[in-house]
Amino acid sequence: MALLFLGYNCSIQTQTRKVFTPAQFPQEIKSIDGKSPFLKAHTLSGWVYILTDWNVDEAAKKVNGNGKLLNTDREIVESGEFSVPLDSVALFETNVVSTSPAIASMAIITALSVAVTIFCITNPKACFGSCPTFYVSDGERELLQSEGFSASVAPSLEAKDIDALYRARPASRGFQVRMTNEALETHVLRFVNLLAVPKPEGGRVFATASWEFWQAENITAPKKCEAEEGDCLDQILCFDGKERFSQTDSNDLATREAVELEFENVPNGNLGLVIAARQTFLSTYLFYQTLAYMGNSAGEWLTRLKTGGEITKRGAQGIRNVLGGIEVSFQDEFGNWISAGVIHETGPLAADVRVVTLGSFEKGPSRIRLRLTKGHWRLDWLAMVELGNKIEPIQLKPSEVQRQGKIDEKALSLLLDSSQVLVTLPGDEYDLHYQLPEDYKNYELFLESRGYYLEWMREEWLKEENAYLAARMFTNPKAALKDLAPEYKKIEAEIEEYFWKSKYARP
Amino acid sequence: MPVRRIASLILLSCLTCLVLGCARSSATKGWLPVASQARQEAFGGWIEVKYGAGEEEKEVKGELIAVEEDSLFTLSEIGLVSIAAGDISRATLRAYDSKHGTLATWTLLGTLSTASHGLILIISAPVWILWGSVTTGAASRAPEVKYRQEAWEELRKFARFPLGMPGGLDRGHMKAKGFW
Repeated sequence: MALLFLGYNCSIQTQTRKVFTPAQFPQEIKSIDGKSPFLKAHTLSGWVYILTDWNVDEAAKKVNGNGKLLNTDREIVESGEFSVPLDSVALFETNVVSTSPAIASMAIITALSVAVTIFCITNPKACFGSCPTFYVSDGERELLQSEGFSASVAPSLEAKDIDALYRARPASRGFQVRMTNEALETHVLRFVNLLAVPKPEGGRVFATASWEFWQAENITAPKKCEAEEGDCLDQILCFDGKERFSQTDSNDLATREAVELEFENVPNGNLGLVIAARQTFLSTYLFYQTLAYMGNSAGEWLTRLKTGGEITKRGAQGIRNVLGGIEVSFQDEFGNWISAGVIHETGPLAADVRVVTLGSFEKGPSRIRLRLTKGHWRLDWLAMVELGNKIEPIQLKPSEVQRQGKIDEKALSLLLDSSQVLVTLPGDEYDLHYQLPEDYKNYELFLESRGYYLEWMREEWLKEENAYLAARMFTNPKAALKDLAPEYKKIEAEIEEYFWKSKYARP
Repeated sequence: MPVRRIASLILLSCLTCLVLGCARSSATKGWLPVASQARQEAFGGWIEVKYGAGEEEKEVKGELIAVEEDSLFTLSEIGLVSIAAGDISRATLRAYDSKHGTLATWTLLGTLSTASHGLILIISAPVWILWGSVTTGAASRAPEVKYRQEAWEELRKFARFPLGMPGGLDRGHMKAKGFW
């Protein structure tokens, strides 16, 4: 009952005030469009009319209404019907009251000072943070194989994500995914499903950035890999955790580089380039820096993100767009570099496996170029494949959810109903169980999740609150990336180590 | 519900209170009208001004009376105070009471209620907290105008006299909006 009472009284309203001169009156009144039931007319003497049920008599150049006239002490000197000549008014004022858009916003900002590791204290922007993380067995041990919707850092950025479980090796029809919240974050999940796609005989299935699923065969390794540092072949031959990555530019975090591959005995037909990669912690650092600049106003920023429409959302992606994805080009027979596509999978924790379709060839290209931002990507595996059929996946919803060894019917029902959400807090772990098709070994598995997450503000970040710099991350990301380069360089070499050591774990 | 979970919820609720308490006004309770009432009144907003520097720094609080090109006038408990624009380090004006405190209470009660059995409350605690930021943070800041972050002219329209000090005004005998 108390809640209902408070709810009734709790309609949060905002007020938008406008002031304008009599000359601006006709135009301004149209823009208000009847939303301001009260009109204030200020005179040069400091007295003010407050009128309701007002209207404008343009021919007589007067404002008519019912109300009161107040003196400079704001005492009522007269009340009733007024007809006020426009030329006796120095300034008009309107106040439009509306329900606060903040009502519909969901954001959580909590400043905590937790018992963090020494690494977090000295490097607060290297502190562990992630979206939901998913662990799946490779047949021998559990591996971190997916991180869900890494770019969805606000309710208005809620999105679906599909990650390949390329190294999953199911041992039976019963398949388990462990979902964890290992950061100081609130995770909001709408669903977590498996997608099963039949594999071709002796082949695999790969997904494109737009979630087309292609059967593939003839996986071909490159013969050469050249980058700024020289030979990079060894790092990208297998999907084994050995990665090729570079350092950022000291003066501009957006500086690009190229990695070139050469292939021999390239197959004919419909070809694609497989890329297994994850981001470095550069994007995480920049995200945290943005939150630090927002400081105590972070909630308000997130509200603006929700209410500001598509233009605001696009602005919010500014840094991400400037840093860019991995652009793939191939060299045609005339020596031209033809752009094939780009992958831009956000997330520094789990390498994702994607394919970029190159096209159909009678003689496939032998040279491929990747263009990417220095220090932004860790490449684990690169290979060319021959693409076969495009296949629609089978969607498998969880059949059971367990928490701390016990069946959690509530969590299951929330994940099965996409109008509801499952919210997890730091330290939460859920075991999601799925039933695979009978011939489970013949399927490639992918994890399909949807939701968003909210970063918890660290107290250490609040000291950097700066509205101008926060705004600049959105309005002029290129300049921001130049200015932040020296600071990032100070921690770049150790950030990966700091990050993993500061994972949140329940005692 | 496990005891540990209840303890976690209470901790989160307390933390929520800490955060939601950030945007407070020093105005006496009831001085600031709510948004719907403010449009029918003609007093200035409540302003808190810090001016001077170092050991000389001072603060004045009260109704914003007028904003001139180079100074502003505040009617405080000691009378009408004039402060040069160049001396101001920070000024925060609140135009109305956003009632975010009520929302904070709502959020807290909602959060705590999920710790009990038997309540017909299908929303879990974290979702209550999520609602409550409603940005209780943003809601609490909606009526604010902060000088230096926003332009000087923005303050003007929330003054009792948005056109500036009226000529012939008896500055020594101005009537305040009660509560002094």
